[in-house]
Amino acid sequence: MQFRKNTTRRDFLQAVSTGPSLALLAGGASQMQAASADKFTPVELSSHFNVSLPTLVDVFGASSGESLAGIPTGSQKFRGIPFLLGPGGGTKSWLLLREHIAEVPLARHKAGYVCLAQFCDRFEADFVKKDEEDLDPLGARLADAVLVYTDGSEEVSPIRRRFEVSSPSISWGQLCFAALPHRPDLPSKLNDPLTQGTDWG
Amino acid sequence: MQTAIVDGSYDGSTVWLWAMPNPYPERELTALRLRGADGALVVCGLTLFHGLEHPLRYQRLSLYRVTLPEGGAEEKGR
Repeated sequence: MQFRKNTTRRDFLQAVSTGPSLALLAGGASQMQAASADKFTPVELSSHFNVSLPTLVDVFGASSGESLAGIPTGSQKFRGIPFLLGPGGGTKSWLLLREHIAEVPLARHKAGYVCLAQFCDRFEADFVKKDEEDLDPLGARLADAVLVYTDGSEEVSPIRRRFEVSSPSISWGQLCFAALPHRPDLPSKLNDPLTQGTDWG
Repeated sequence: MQTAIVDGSYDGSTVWLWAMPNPYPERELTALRLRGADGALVVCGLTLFHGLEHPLRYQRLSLYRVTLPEGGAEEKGR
C-alpha cells in the first residue's frame, strides 16, 4: 500500500502548527507593537532625579551594591512599555522618595494608566510571626501616587511593599501581587543546559 | 516544543512595573504627585498609557477552529 505524501491528518496538523500559524502570530505581534507604540508617552524625569548610584548604595547598604549597579538605564522597553530611564553611574538617575513630596507635571495629557518603573529597599518577612505585636511589612505603605486633574480633583493610590513594588533582588516566591518584574519569562526546553548546578532540573 | 520557562524574577537588579489605573481617563492630568510615607521608594521611569486596556495584561484568549480534510482509507478506525 502506498501513502500519498502530506495527506494524513497528522501531516496536515504538523504543517498547520508549524508554518502558517507562527507566521500569522508573528505578523499579528508586529502589528500590535506598531499600534501600541502610539499609545505610550514616556515622561522625562531627569529634572526630578535626586540620587546617583553611590548615594543609592549608601541608602540601601553596601550589600546591595552589585544588584543596584545592574539596574537598567537609558532608553528601555519593558514588556512593551517604553521608559526614559536615567543614565546611571555617578549622574543623578533615580528619584528617591522617603518622606517628601515630588510632583511631576503631565502637560494636560489624558491617560488610561500611569506606568511606573520602580523598586524599594529590601526587607525580609518572617514566615511565622514571633508574636502578635510583630509588624508585618508585607503591604506596608511606602508612598502615595496622586493623580492631579486640571479641575483640581485628585485620585490617590497607595504604593505598598509586595503589592505595587518590591526590592531589586527577592527571595523565592516573594513576587509582587500587582506589579511585574521588568524581565519577561522566556521559553526553554527540558534539555537546555542549567546555568548553575543548583538550578531546578 | 516549549516545555518550560525561565523565570527572570530572581536574577537581581529587577525593576518592578506597576500600571496605576486612572479612574477618569477622559479628564486631563496636570501632574503626578508622589508622596513618600515610610521606607525608601525609588522611581526609575514614568510612562503614560493612552489605551483603556491594562498595558501589562495579556490579551484575552482567542479560539480557533480548524476544519480537517476527510481521512484517507488508511486512517479508518483512528
